[in-house]
Amino acid sequence: MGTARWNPSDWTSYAKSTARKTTDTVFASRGMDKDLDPLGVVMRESRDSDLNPASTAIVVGLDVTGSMGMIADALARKGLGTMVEEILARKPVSDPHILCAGIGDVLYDRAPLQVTQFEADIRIARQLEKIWLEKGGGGNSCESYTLPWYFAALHTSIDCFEKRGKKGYLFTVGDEEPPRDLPAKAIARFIGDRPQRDFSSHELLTMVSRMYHVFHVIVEEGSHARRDPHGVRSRWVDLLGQRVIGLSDHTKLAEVIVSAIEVNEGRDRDRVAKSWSSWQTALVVQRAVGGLTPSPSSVAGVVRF
Amino acid sequence: MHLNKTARVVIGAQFGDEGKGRLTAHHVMEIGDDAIVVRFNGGAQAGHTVVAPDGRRHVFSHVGSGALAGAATYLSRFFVANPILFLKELDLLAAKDVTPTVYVDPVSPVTTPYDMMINQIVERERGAGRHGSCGIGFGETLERNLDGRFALTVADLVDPSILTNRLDAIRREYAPARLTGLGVAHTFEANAALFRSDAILEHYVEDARRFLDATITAEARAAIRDRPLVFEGAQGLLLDQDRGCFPHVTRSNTGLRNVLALADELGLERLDVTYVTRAYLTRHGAGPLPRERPKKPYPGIVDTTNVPNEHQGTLRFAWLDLDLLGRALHEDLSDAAIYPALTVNAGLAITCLDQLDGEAARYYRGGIQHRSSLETFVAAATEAVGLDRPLLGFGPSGELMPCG
Repeated sequence: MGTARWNPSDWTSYAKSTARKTTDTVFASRGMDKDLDPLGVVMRESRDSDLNPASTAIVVGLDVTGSMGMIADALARKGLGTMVEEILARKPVSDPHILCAGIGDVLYDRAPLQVTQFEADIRIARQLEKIWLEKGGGGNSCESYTLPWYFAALHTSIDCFEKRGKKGYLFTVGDEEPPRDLPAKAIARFIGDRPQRDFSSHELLTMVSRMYHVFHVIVEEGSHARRDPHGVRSRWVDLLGQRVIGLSDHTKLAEVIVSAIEVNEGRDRDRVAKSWSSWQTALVVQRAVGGLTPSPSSVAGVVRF
Repeated sequence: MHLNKTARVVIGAQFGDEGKGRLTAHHVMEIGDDAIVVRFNGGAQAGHTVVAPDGRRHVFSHVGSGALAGAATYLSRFFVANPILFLKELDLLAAKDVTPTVYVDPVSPVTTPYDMMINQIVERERGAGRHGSCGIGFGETLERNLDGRFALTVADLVDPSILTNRLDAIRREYAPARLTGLGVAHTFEANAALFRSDAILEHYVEDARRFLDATITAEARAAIRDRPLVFEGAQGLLLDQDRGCFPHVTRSNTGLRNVLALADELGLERLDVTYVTRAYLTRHGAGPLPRERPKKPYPGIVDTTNVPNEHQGTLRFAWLDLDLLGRALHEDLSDAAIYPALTVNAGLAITCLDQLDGEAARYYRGGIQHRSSLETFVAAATEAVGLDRPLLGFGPSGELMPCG
């Protein structure tokens, strides 16, 4: 027998003596911050200004449920911040205004949607820290990725579209399947509207696509996507067609989203992929945006998939 | 340059606690601090006590038993690394002014906190039916590494984000499934606070980095080639996974098998193997113990290493059965036939002879208990195992005496 002993009680001190800040202390939230609560929000606005005369709205919703596990932490803590910095640095569109959302499951979570304001600079990082990582989700194989669609369609007002007829961008990021529908009850409970009936995901997509280019990023490292990669992908493709992006390395989320926007804006796919300095990034991006083609028309009102 | 084509090998012939550490240190002192001690089975559950001539004492678990004498350690791919316990041991050694050089094969399996938790939970659940495990997750590590989705090797510790994801998958998906498979599904929820603790996970990621900082993984195998090697076995032949009494065994080959594979890869030509036994038989933990005695067989037995723990209980004693010893050695040596290019010379070492404290030696041979003088006992032992010129050990730090 050895001296190497480890008693169950040792875990307590082991957990306490962590050198770095833990996820729990970085995201101290024990509930949804009221600034991020969509309930009763009339409009989140993205307005042109002297500094940002030609603003473009970008919404990024991140799955923060349990199946995403530590990836949710990594993305929320670092990934979203990097993404905002990259978008601001590369400016794939003019004067980006970014709104971030946390996505959960309307059936199981207390806060299935959390939304920041539209921000034009890195100040958004402070709002990201407020996102509550509920780590919920449930036994169904989908998360409520369409809740931010509903919110964006009816509760955002964006100058790029309203003044200049140019669509904004909406990305959802997660590892599970899209839900079939969004119950009216859930909309009432979490957003405060009183719709007459449930919405199917196709209906919601049509609604949100009026103002936004809609994409979904599958986090392939997430536990659900790893268990059933083909099922997840095919259900998203049924809904979104080519605008489904496979993300093989979650640390490259920023690069992949920026590249997807660039390709959609008409830049050459291969050139976009090669523009990233490390070959690893180029490879991940190449794989992710390989199926995308430029938007056929950036004129408002055209919805084509 | 002189090429070392010969290596020394130390193998326990019982259930562990034979004195392998002491014999390894003895070899290293003969060779010099150029020696490298190779761990070829087991993991951090080993506890090899060495007392240096200057009085420093250490119980080696991860680090090879030659470290007090300045020898480096090579953790081969047959060794299961446990970063948490490795760092604990480094701290203990640092307090004794020892900073060991440790090489690690990057493909070596690595224990996670979750393997340790599962091991402890299951052993607790077994109650009186426990298998005698140390509770540090050694066997659980090997079990988990069979599944590529959850396998973890030293090379996987390099990228903290990959490591974090792997650990997260292990605690979320593997752990509940494994506990269910073991028939104790309810224990996952009962211990949910441990599995869900991000603090434990993050501390471990930090420990993984410290483990890599404290060891040499790059070109480790090349670094030990042609250096004088001492292969240090852990546990003993009677705990071998294939030859011991299942389920009260350890999940490794405790004998020559792994040594032969490594020696073959390293291009060695000769192995000088010493099988070590105490003058009596001991066992720590549950499982059969032939010729068991209710109390210490000899008055002089003092053991400060084997203090009782929750998982293994106290040390148990028995008379030595020479036929059992001979059979174990014979079976183990039969593995050498697979490698005809290797010459294997075997010898026997008997330790703890001082503990007879002047009493007559007692042992079993041919199913009958014998009482004899120490000399007659040694002669009977060498005859029973068919090896002559045994090494005899008296006392914790005393020199080993060759015996004609």
